[in-house]
Amino acid sequence: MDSANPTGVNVISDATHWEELQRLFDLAGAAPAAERERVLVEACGDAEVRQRVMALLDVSEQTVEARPQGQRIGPYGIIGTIGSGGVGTVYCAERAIGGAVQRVALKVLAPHAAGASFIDRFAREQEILATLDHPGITRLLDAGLAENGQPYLAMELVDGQHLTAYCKAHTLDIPARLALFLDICGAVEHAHQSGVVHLDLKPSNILVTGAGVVKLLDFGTAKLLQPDGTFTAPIMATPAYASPEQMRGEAVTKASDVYSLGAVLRELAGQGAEGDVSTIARKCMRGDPRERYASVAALAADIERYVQGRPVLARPQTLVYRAGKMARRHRWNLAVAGLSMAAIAGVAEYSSWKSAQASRQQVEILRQSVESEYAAMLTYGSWFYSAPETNYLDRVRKTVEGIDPKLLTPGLHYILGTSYMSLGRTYWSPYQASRLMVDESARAYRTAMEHFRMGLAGAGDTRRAFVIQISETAMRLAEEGVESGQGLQAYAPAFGPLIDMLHAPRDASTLAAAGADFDMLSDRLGKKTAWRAEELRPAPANLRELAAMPLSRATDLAAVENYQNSKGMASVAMPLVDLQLGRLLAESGHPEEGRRLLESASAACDAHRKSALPDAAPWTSRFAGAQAQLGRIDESEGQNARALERYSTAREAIEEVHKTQKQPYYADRVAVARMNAARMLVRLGRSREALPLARSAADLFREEASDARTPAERLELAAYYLLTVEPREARDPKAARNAAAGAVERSARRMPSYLVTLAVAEFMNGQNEKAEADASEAEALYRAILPSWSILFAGAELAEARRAFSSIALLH
Amino acid sequence: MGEETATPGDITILLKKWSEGQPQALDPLFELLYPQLRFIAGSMMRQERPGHLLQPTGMVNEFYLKLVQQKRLQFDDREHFLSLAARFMRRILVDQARQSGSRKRSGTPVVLTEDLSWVAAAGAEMLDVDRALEELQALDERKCRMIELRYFLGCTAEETAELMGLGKATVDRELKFARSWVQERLSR
Repeated sequence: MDSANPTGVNVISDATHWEELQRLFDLAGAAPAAERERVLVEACGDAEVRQRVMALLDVSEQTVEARPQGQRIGPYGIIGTIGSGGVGTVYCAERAIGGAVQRVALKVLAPHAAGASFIDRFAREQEILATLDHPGITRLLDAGLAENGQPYLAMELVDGQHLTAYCKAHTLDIPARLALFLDICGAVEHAHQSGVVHLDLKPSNILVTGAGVVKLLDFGTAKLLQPDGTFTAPIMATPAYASPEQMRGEAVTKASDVYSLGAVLRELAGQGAEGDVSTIARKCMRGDPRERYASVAALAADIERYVQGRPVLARPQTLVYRAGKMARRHRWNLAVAGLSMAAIAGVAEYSSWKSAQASRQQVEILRQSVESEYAAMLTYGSWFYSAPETNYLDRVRKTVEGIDPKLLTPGLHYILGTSYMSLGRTYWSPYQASRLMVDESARAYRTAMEHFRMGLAGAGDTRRAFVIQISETAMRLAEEGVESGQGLQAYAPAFGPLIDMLHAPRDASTLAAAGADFDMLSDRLGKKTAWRAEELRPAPANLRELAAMPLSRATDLAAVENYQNSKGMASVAMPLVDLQLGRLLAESGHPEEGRRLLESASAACDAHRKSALPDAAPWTSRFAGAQAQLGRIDESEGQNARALERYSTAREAIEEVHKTQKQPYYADRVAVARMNAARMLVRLGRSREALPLARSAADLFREEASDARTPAERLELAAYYLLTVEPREARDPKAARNAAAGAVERSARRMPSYLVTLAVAEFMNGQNEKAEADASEAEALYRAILPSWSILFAGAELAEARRAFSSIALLH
Repeated sequence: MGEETATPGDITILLKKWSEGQPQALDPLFELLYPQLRFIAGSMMRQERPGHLLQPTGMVNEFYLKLVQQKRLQFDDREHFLSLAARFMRRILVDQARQSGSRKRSGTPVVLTEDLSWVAAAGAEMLDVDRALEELQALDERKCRMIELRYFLGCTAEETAELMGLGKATVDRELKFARSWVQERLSR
């Protein structure tokens, strides 16, 4: 937003006017837009400060109201903004139906949230809303896609206030508030009857209309319950209103909504609530879901009892009662443990003398007992079971070890595997991150892995579940290995299972998940190789193995997975895998394998971009990436002519993308592509041809690129480039110094890295004294910064510092 | 990181120091707690497939439970913990953004919203936010803390006010300004 700084003059230093800025911002912000200039002129004599305040106010409005009035989304015209949150914005909008105008609340997904998972979430909200029909629940009127492909939901427009605001504004007394609360219960109960839990009940999601009608909003986090009445996916929740089990990411049920209703009730009734109301709220909010009201209807019935002056059922629990409850719970627990121990021991004994003929029935008993243990573990939390006296898993393991593994069914292996996974996680608890615990944790993961692998061998239709778990476990082991200091090689074994996963299943979401993991994994490895290449040098054997696999399945996968119905993810995954893995192999000292994969990726990306896909740009960009990587391999082998060819192909491709997509990211890539080509031309003795390429790359860096988001950063990058570009004739120390000085000037704080660049540039211009001064300032700043940052980003920051210091040292 | 050095007592003392206004206690705290929190974050991201999203509330809660349930650490109050957690969230997001690398830029600056942590988790734009917040912190520490609580931890304005011992009106006013200031830095 250059409105803050249209002429390029120095931005006034905010520090010196800080308090005044805030004061004027408040003052002008409170005035209508048309009055602001006048208000500011009256209040402040400094034009620059005024301009700064106006810029901040502009931003303040732009970032809230991202969509201008009058714009159309589908058949709807936007009238105004109702509210916006992280995932989207709700507009007030209208459309003409017949002769009438219908006003709606239009919920639109924010552009930055338009990932597959958000679209799923959006689709789910639509699905859920469509199943609900209750006066207390906002109705879904319409749903569709805008012209740009953005999904929207049109909902009943509710003209009302948030629950607490309504109560305050109407100074409602307790009985009136409870009447509203009963209406809320009615709406929630309706949702529950339809198998939907809301999971984010709170006053700001409950509106009350002028006529006193309650409306529940935002089913964005709601879930359709599974047949057993639970749902275990992690859920976004509001801490003050969410149940403990929900906060823990455990199974949630209708009882979780009961908890939230209790929190709402407590707030509604306020401090002056009489004993029984707060008792009811407390019963809703018990930590153990089973101690809450069994249903919203039961809660409502107790409220009604209170309103009618009858004793409520939610009696306060006495200490004795609670103690008894605890004992019972514990006994139950022990009983389950004892039962299963006996059963497992029984099977073990039996199997030791007649293992080959152990009956299905006995394995079934074993299965059931382990399953109930597992359920208990889920209920009580794995931490409970990780305590030494309750560590049933270790005992299970000892018993199970005696059994011929062939007797364990795949299902049992699955349960044991997932149990060991939980165990592995709990070992990794805070303050126990000692070597021993890490080893324990890794051991649990390895055991889990064994079970999954054995299970996989016998799994028929459930293969996929095992493959997913295996890759998950492999990732955990890898993370563990890295944490415990094995270095990045620990990641290498995780590739195999991931590749299995990418190849085995044919459903889009699993592929996408594996693809994302793979991306992340290769990214982590690839990133670090830049400055820690030696870690990967001891050739990870299975990377070679992988490369030998028939990986060129990109095209046939793409054909199998219809582009539309896979949402593009599946067919995206394979070439990306080839691309990443190829890059990785090439960078870790396996140029031949790398080349093979990159060729295959390149061909696939090329095919994609030439086919009639809706958007070819990403594929062209990936094609360019693959070609550039191939060029890099050639370059490292001294094949300059071949490298030039590759780099030129890459350059043309990425320029093509940049033509239509004027984003800094692409500008950056074009600049790099030109630099690459220029470098090869220099090596081939064709500097004359290289010069214009290098110059245009420098211009791009300065003007459009790049990695840098702030003008200061961009200037610094340009300076760095202008100092180091090949051919040397294209270098421009004077321009570099100006750029670096600009970078230092424009940043609000003294940035050591900018100062280093400036110092180098000054040195190149013969300004030795200035260079000296700037370098020592940079060094002092680094020393001040590093102790704290080294904890987190030790590698990157220190490497940068070292690079900076060494370049200074080189100059001296 | 040594069990030898990281006793729960140390942590409690450091936390107390920090909450009493000694900012220099924060760095050793990070050193002691960060590996665990990052591990939790890692686990949760794994569960959150396919988008690799962070859920600040869930994560912070798990962290809290681990610390408190195991009686490893006594927090005097929730406020200290949450302020600390907000700072952690920011570091985690930045760390994540660094890991995801600068290649994954979407081209649009981050918009500060209360769901920031799970919407924009992995984008490299988060590094810009961090940079802007560093600048803000130098100018006005209190506003920076507000932003962390409100947008990185997802506290409501009311909660933020309560946590910081300020009036809601003050928080609304200062947050509006601070948010605009940060957005303006990001949109340059």
